[in-house]
Amino acid sequence: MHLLKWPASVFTKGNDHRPLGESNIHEALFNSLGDVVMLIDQQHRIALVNQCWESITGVTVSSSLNLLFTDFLHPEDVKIWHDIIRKVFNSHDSQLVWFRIISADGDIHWCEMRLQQLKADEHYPLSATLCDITPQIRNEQIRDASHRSLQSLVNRLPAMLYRSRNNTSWTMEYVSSGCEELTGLRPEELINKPQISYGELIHPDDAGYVWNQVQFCLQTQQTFELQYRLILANGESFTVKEKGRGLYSESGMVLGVEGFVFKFE
Amino acid sequence: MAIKIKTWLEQFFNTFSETASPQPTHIIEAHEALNNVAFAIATSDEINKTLPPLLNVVEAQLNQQFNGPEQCHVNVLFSSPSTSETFVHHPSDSTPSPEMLHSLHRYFTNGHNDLINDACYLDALVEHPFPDPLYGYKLTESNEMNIWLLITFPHKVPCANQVRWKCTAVETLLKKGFTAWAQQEKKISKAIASERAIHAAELHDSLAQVLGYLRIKSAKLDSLCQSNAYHELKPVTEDLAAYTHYAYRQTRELITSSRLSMKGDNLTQAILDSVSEFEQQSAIVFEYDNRLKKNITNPQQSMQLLYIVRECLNNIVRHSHASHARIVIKEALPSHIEIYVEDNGIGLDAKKARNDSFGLKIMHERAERIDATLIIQPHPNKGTQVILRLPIGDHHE
Repeated sequence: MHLLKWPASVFTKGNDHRPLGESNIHEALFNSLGDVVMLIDQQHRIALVNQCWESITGVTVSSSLNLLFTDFLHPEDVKIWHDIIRKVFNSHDSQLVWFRIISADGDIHWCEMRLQQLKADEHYPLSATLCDITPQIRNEQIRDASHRSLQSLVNRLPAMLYRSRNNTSWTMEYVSSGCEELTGLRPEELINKPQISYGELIHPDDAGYVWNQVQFCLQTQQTFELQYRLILANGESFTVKEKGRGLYSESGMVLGVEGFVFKFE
Repeated sequence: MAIKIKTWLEQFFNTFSETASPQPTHIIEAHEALNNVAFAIATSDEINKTLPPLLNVVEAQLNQQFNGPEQCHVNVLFSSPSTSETFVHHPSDSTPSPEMLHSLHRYFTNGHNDLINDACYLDALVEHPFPDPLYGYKLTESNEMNIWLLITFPHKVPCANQVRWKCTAVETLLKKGFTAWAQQEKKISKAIASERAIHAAELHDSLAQVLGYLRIKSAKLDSLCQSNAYHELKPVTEDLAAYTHYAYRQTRELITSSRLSMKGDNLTQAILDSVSEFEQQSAIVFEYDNRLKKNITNPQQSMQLLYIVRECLNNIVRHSHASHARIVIKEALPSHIEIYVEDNGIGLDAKKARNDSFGLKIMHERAERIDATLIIQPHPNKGTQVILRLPIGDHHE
């Protein structure tokens, strides 16, 4: 019975009789968290924030109180902040947002914030949790840069790189941008389109040779090297060179064909 | 009952002539004053300088209509939806309080754009977070610029109908003035852009082609003079080749910069576009961090800054061997902007070994032209750091 009663005393404000340990536990818990927990008032000032805030911004909790939250935001992200508040009010639900916080030493910290109304029927104050996601963002930027670099390298090559299915239409699963210069068709026109296929562009007299050569090399798991003619939609005809190889499962099944084609002049 | 037609006509004309009696002179004068204001706005070259004294006139005219404690303040607000910039123009003898400016800026730029775009007027009676009750009328509207007439009543607020009725004349005339001004500005910027496009195309077709040819020939001449037989010519041909190469590159950059700056003289956008352009050519992680709240450089400064930043990016992609680069633009006290271009590459000393320091020389020259200081130094950690510091005049919100 006594046990059921004690939580009430913890939540009763101004109860001078509660044991010291109990009164501190919430504050200790609040400040021990590895995420920022904060309360923002109607003027967008920081009304309450835990210790973790200092580790992100380098500004102490006591000197951050009553400062505008937007003072810590990257100027370009202030609009995001205002948008998300409107979203919270419109949806009556919590919202997730990413933005940049500028710390005391001028560094940028990417942060993820979850923001909601403290009380369902009042816009303010807003409660929020915030965590530093800078390492993830940095990794993502590195991944993006290497992807972008590879992508632009592949697309700038004066050749068409491809991965296709092993059928007489040579249905394409991927073609690089070089496809447009070679065939006059955009990559998206060739990829997974049964109506227009790469096979139809091959000169009818050469189609059999191409098929047989590739099949032979696939069976023997060798790379193939071909020279044949393409006929484009506008009637133009020219010779191309191709080098490629098969894609095999571990059991040796042919899954597809990869390679590159370029104009032979 | 019967009334003579003559009497009736007399009565009729009497009433007519009473209502149509000449307007009191002060109304005519007021109308003329406002007409002059509208004309001055429509023909203004520098709206920032023209507007404050004109707003004095407008404010005085309006205050003749509102008596006693209902005295008002007049401001004109320019807000640009595309760049999130707000400028508040006020009469030369009264400045709005910083709180008012802050809340106007917040209201008109941040997060309320779509609300503001749809509205044609704002009522003081609707709940707005302004320190002083405010009425607003949209004077012109376009993608580049919305212009608002704002009337604040610091003491006593008249009701909405009263305000709307009494402000109609001012609103209509200002509308005319600003519409004409905006059209004029649009025409000018269009003319500048097309002139620049012509110059860029002309440069591309004439000078750049010739320089391209000279570059190849001078390089060939230089390589022929490498043999001992021509050792006396060597320094000359080396210089010739290097300078021609540089002239060619500068011309190309000039063409690119004028194309980039054509997109509305917006420095930060032009730098962002340049970063995206160079990004495509390498696997370097570019971090772009623009902390400027608004554009505060003039077209000439923007052009030189853009050129210098592009030269830095060029060096980073070509020579730095870096994996990360960072471009930071921020305001520094007092009234400076600073641009940092940093990389974590092999550093400057290693690059110095190369025989062209033209790039650096030209960067310094360009910085000097706009009174900017340019510091090129090793980065405290690793790589190179370029700091560009440009003084800017006082600017108002």
